[in-house]
Amino acid sequence: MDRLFNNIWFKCITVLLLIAAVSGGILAIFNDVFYVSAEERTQRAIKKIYGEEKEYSVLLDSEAGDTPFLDEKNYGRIDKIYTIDQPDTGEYDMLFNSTGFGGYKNGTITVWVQVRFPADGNITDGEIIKVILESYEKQTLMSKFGESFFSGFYLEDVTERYFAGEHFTSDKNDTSNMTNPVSGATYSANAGCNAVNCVLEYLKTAVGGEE
Amino acid sequence: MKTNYKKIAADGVIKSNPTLKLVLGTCPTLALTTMAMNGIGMGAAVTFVLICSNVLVSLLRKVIPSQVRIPAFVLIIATFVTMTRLILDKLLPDLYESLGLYLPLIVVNCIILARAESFASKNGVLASAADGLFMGIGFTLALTVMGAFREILGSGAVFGVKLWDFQIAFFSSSAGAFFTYGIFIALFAFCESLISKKRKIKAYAELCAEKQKSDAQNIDSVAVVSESSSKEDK
Repeated sequence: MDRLFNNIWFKCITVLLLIAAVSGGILAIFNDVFYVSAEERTQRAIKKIYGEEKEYSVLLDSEAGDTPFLDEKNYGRIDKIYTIDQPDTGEYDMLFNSTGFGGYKNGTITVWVQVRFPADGNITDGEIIKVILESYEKQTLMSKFGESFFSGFYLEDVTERYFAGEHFTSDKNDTSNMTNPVSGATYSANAGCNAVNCVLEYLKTAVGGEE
Repeated sequence: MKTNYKKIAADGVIKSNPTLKLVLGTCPTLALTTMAMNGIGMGAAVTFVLICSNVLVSLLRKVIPSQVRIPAFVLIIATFVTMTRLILDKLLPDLYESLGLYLPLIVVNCIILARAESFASKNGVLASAADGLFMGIGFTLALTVMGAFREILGSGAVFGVKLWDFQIAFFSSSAGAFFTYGIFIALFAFCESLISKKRKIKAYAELCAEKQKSDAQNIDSVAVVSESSSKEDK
């Protein structure tokens, strides 16, 4: 027995196991104390948009096992959709967590898009109220994106124009569409436009705009 | 032996600055210096992990067999990095998001492993904590200054406050990060050589003054001796 306790490899393994066990215990406590629930994460996103926490209903949540929406035109992917009622006016908002494809080096841009619908629920009267950058991949010129880029999506007749065949584009020479270019970051602007196009495509196809 | 905290501080911040002198932790330095605030956030996270891991490694230095010291250090560092991630995610979610992938990568940061191996495993707890603190401060300062430089030139802002519309997008890119890093290493080396040159000149001047003084004393003593011998001759 003494030989075993004096064996260097026994000591090595015991020390490593002890450190791992103590670390595991400490981390388990920390995980419990500092756990961030899915609800808290969603409220963080809502706070970014509204400046305060709001009650919401989940329409789609890929993290909860729902299938994300992928549009046929390959603009992007929608992972989360929440609806928030506006009790004062009778209007309601839809919040989309949309990832636009086709950025620099095939990277993506993920934004939160807030679309407000009138009390009568007419989809074609939906209006983009806010677009907020959530995250991006491989985009090196994101510093070029100012408030002017995001406010470029706030068009009153945006759904009508989209349903009529227009879409957001970063090509400043394309006057037949809704242009929103960012000088010096064309590919990133393309991904940003695609993220919003994906939301409009969702409204057109999934909600029933096309019918 | 008495611990020289002044030396530990000078080593951590200037003489062995982990970023600009030892060129350690290059990955977060290049990736996160697009903004000054990122530099402070990353620096604070690394400082916390450095202090905690140094203290624990120093405490356990006589218990951990040398054959498994590296896996043991990595285990300890990984524990503190995970703790930092959990705390930041809960309390500072914006900073947590902006640091992204580079926060868990602190585990393999050379600065932390190097300090555990070369300092904490050979020194006492307080000295190791001081080493972690000052190495962390050195890292934070380097990252913040580089971040401010790149933010001002690349985005026309500093700490998120817009200064002007003039921007050089190159400084926000990866190539700009390497370029900035090169400039700062060169500047640091230049300043260091300038200071050491000045010190050498000062030391040489002092040596010369001392020699002159001793020469003068020698001449005086020779004069006294010759004077007394001439008196004896008379």
